[in-house]
Amino acid sequence: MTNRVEAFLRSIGLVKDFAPLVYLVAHGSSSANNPHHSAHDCGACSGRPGSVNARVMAHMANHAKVRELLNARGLSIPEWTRFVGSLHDTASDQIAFYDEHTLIAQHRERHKANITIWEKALDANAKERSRRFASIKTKDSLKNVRQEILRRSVSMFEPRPELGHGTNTLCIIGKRDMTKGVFLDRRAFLNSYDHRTDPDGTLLTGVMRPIGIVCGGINLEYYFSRVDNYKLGAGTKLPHNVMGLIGVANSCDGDLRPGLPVQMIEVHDPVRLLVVVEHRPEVVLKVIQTTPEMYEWYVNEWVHIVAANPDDGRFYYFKNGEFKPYQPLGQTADVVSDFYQLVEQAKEMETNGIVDATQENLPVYLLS
Amino acid sequence: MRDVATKAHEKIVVNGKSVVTAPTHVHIGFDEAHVLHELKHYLPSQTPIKDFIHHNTLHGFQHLKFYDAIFKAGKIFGYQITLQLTEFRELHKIGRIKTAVLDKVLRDKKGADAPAWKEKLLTKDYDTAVPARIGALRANWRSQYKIDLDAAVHPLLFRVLCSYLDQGISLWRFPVKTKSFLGALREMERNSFSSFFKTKRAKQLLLSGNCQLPDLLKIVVGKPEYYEQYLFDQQFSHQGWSGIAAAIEDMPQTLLDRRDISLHDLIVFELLLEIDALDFHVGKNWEPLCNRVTAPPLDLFADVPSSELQEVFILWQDAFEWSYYDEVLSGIAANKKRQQPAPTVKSFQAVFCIDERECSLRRHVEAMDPQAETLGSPGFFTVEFFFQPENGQFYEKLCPAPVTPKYLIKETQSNEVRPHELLYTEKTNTLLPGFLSTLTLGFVSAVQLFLNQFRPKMSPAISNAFTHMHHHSVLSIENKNWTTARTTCKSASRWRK
Repeated sequence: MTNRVEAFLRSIGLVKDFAPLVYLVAHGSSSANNPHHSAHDCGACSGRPGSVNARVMAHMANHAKVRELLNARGLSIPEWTRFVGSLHDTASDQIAFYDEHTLIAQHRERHKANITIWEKALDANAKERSRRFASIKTKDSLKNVRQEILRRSVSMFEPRPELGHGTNTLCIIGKRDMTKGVFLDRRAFLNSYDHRTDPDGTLLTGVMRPIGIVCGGINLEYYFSRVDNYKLGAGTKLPHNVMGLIGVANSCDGDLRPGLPVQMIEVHDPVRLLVVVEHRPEVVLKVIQTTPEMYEWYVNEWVHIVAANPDDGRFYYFKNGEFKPYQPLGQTADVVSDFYQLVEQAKEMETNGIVDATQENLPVYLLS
Repeated sequence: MRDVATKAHEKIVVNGKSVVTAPTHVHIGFDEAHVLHELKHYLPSQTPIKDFIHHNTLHGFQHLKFYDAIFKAGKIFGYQITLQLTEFRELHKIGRIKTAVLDKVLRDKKGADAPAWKEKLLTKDYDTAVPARIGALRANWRSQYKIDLDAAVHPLLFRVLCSYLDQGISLWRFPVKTKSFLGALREMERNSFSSFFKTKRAKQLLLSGNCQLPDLLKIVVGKPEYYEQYLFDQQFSHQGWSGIAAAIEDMPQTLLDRRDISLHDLIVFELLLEIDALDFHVGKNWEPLCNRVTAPPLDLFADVPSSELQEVFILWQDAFEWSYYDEVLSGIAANKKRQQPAPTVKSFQAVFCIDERECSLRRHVEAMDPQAETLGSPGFFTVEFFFQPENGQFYEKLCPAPVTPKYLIKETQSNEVRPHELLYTEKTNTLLPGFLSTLTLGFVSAVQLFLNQFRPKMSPAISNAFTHMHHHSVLSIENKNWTTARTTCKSASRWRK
């Protein structure tokens, strides 16, 4: 248990300045009449909700003996810090917290106050998501939008309870400072990593190991389902029959339809994943060359990778086996002060709202 | 096609298990094991839909560079592997592909020829149709024998496959499920009044066990040098079913109710159905397909020559990708200049999954509470294990797909009764109860469905993320009695400190 808690905390650079409460937020997805529901759950949990994992890690990280052993290894978690497992439903924008009864009174008070923050954040999240859905008026009140988001997730008639990984394009591995306040329109996998605690890239190797197969795999499945939804995707969901609980087909005489249905990929731009790693290029190169399987993703260009060098502040793009400096063209991102206005005024779909979802992605903005 | 002498292996069933015996026949030019391996390599590898694990759809080509791979896959299998040319042009027209980025891509790659290439990208007419190599050989059934073999074979093949693999939808269970696919079919054929076949020859071939792949291919195809191409044509005419059979063969644990199926058995049954269909529709004296084919066998995987059109697609794709990438890198660079110091006193921290859907919630949490800090880590939180829900018969893997856990977490004391909805009883699918329930429950169901359109609500029929584990259940995380745990958990264990 100690090894796993240590590996977990060190990999994300959470080794000091612990808050009184540390939430471990797993995710899952609720939907009705949806054979592809597990494609909306957590890919790192083999397509299932990660609530058990969050509870298990919280239990381990709260364990007195584990804390004692961690302390001996130089990783001190203050006694008053408690880990709390939770589950975010990405379709209904609801959240549940586990083992709250184990919190002491002081922490319960803090937790109660934090729940208010979580609810407000989920309101805003529902509002942001709603801009792509035809059935919801984004300009409606936060309360109503949230209610409509919840209803979509339990509607037997809704082919798009959520849009899954549609639009995924980025994977950013580094400190939160890099992206905090940058509006990326829900297109980025964000993996925390602090290069200052890992100068030679030992921890980075473990962090990078699943990036190609998990994030790259998701990205390419969306890519190919989007560019050829007939042969490499599953076509529209509407005529699907579930065959033997193992797949879907368009009729009992049809071939199984692997890949993703059109309702999951229609908003997706078919572009390869760009991985941005905050570390020196020579360290990143050494890490991606750790195994041939990992290197294949990058050297064969199924996934792009850029090193954001913390020493000189420049970007280095990997091509033909080496990292070379990349100078952005100097496009200026607009600064947005009113997030709600940004979402409410975003361009909506031009086609019939019943058979489509808003495909227009928003540019990168800096939020003030 | 391999030019070495190879050996066919007989597959027999011993104690319910498929066993490959010593080689019995030698067929020059056809390496059965190699062809089956190659087929599995290129077929879709999606496992049953309950475990939807995203992967590179063209994983079979991942050893090649991306562009080489996609154009090769497109030529062999007829896939569309980029956006259409008209779509790229439209994206440029509406500004999603930025002219500045397109110009940079052209400058970097084409130098002085950039203006000429830009003209090609923007205006030149191309014939974008790429005839696929797959399917060319079997197309001769239609042209030479005037028979649509797929239409004659697929419906029955798919129904039998689906019935054999069924995980619980069907009311009538497959009569024999303890044997391999072919063994089960043989037993049914032997003991049934009815038959899978309309004619005698295919039935006799199945019952006699004399249905090794090279023998059947000799009847259907005729010439060994065409066997590999024929099998690729045949299996890619239904790559979904073939892919799932191959995936289950390699990972039988992916089915909760296991089945012993193999791609080999599927092909044997399909060839028998083809022989049966030809005997029925053409008569007994038909010649093998390749006696009437004049074109030499096609090397499906031969190199695909590069073309100007491919180069045009590469340039458009690069420009499309960098139109966004450059914007992101510019945004990150601009953000660096205005970075605020992290809060010294943190109200709380929250570690999310790296999933891009959590990207926005993290942003909103930070906006609502500037003292809060958010982080991201893969959502299994570095703990890999199987999970057994209370009253669940099976273990569920809760970690990335390539990892095989050694631990088991059990759920107990959930004290929650799983809700049940009378309307969803399987009895409504049988004749008399179905008739009666349609007259009674059917009307209630119709009203409920109608109301659900306007006011949908949670019901037992809905996949609810929060019921994967009950909220107040107890998890067996820590092993406090190692001896007992070893005996009760068998192959799985629980954590020690």
